Formats: sequence, C-alpha cells, structure tokens
Amino acid sequence: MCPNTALLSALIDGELPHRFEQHITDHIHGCSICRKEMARFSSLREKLQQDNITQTEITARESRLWRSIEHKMLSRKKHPLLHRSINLPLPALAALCLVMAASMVTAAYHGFAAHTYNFPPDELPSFSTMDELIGYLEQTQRTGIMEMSLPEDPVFLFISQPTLMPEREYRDAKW
Amino acid sequence: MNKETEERESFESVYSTLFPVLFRVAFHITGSGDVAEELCQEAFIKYFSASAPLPTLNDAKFWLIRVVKNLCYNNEKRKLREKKAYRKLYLTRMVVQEQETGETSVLKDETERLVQKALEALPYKLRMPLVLKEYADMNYRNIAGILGITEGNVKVRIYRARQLLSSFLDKGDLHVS
Ligand SMILES: [Zn+2]
Repeated sequence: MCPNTALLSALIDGELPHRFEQHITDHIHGCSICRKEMARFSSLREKLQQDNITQTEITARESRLWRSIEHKMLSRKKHPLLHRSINLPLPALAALCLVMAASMVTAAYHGFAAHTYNFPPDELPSFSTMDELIGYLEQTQRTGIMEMSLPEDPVFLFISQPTLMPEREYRDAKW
Repeated sequence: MNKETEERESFESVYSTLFPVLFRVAFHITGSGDVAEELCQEAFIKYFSASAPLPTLNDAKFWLIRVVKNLCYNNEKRKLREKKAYRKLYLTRMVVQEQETGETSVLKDETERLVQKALEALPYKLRMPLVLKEYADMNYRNIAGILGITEGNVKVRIYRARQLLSSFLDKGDLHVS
C-alpha cells in the first residue's frame, strides 16, 4: 500500500524518522506512482530555487540598506530623545492632547497676549467623559488649571510618539 | 578595541550573514523587493536598537526571522484591507491588476515571475511555512517554534502548500487578484 503523499513531502524535507524513512524509500523504489509523486515534489523545489533572487540583486540591496541603517542609527545616537519611542498610557496621551488642545483654544480666542485669570478658577468643573470636557472647552473662554486623574489601574497601551495636533483634528479623530 | 567598535563589528557581521536570508523570506512572502527591503530595514533597526546583541548568530537569526514574520503578517493584513477597499470602489467590472510600482524587477523573467505569483496566491498560512522551509533553510521544529504551531501542523501546511502550488502551476492560468 502506498504511503500518504504528505509523508513523501516530509521525506523530501528529510523530516521522517530514520526507521520510517528506510521503509518508505524501499517502497518508492518499487512503486511507479510514488516515484512520480516524488519527482513532482522535487521539480517543485527546483522551480522554487530557480525562482530565487540573484546574488547580484541581494548584494546591491544589502549594501544600500546598510548605508541607510547606519545613517539612521548614527542620527539616533546623536539625538537620543528625538528618536526614542515613548510608552504612554492611553489616558495620559489623551490628557496631553487635551492640554495642548486647551491651550490652543485659549490662543485662538485671545491670541498669545497675556491675559490674566484667577488661578485656579473659582469653581472648577469636573468631567467624567471626554465629550463633556470638550463641550466645556468650546463654551468657555476661560481656561485654567485642569486636573486630570488617571484611572486607578491604567491600562498601558503602546500608541506612538506624542504628537502635537490642532484641537479640531483632535475633536474629529476617532479614538 | 573599544566597546563601540566591537558592537559595531558584531552588528555588521550579523547583518551581512543574515540579510540574504531575511530578504529572501520577506521577498517571497510579499512579492515586492522594495517592500521586502523596508521590512528588513525595520527588523535590523529593531535588532540594533536592542540593548545588547544576542549571544549567537543562530539566536539572532531566530529573533530576526520572527520579527520579519510579524512584519510580513502586518503587511499582508494591510494589503488585504487595501484590496477590499479597492474592490468596493471598482466592484462592477474592474479587473484587479497588479499595480506597477516602478521598482526594478527582482526576478529575471516572466517564467520566474509565474512561480512567485503562484506562491503569492497561496493562503498566507500555507505560504509562510513553505517559504521558511525553502528559502530560510529551516527544519520543521524551528519553523514550528517561529510560527507557534506544532511540528505536525508544519508538516501538513507545507504539504498542502506544495499540493496547491503545483496545481496552480499545472493549470498555468493563474489569475491573482
Ligand atoms: Zn507507492
């Protein structure tokens, strides 16, 4: 009886236990069907090898990429802070954006000229959702110290580097 | 020799030994030389940015192949998303054709492209183990370790990949969309 063709595929890869291997090789010797299957697997392997990338191509890409990597690594060494990725908890990132957004709102209404307000403001509203907070920022022309507390057990997610973004874009973004 | 020079030399030797393997794997999975190069760059930068080089070349090879595998997977998902969006846009009668990216062809001629096209038409789950076998010269045990599946599973996937691949090539009328 002929072995399962999956075994022949494993035989081509030299992945059969020795005892098995001998047994199947003997069978293939006397069986034209299995010989044909083996020939098919071998020819497929040959085709895949022929389809391989040339050494010239590899060498060209290899040296080009090395220069690029070297350049990137060197510039990274010079400015470690610029390139280091920072892991920020999601709420902190949102808070950071909001603080930026808040200052932009103020700037938009009053320009950058100094306006004085009472700090902290008389009554500091508290918000439980982002929408409320954004709504407040839109309504009020005043700004002040904003206290943002993180959840007790913050979930730390890797997002990306902190980005400066206009308030409008922050509001429209789908978080 | 100072520590920096030593580290640099170690990186250089890891790079020159492993680039060909990584590039071949990434190319045969993604089908694009430029994309493969980008993924390799990302993988090596990750490796070089790690605090210390891995003790042996073999460790480095596994580490890097695992990273490239993940990058290939992300790339595959992105490609699928793009394809879906593209199909939505041109659902009616557009024939999805391979986009010419203007990159120089990595493979020599059309016959060779056909094998690569057939390879790309394989489901990702079958393509990755076969590519690791044929182009990274890894045994089933190592492939299983990289992909997080059993050796038996590797055996079956490689077998199924070969069956499908040869049926594609026999038909000779491959329409990869
Ligand atoms: Zn037989």
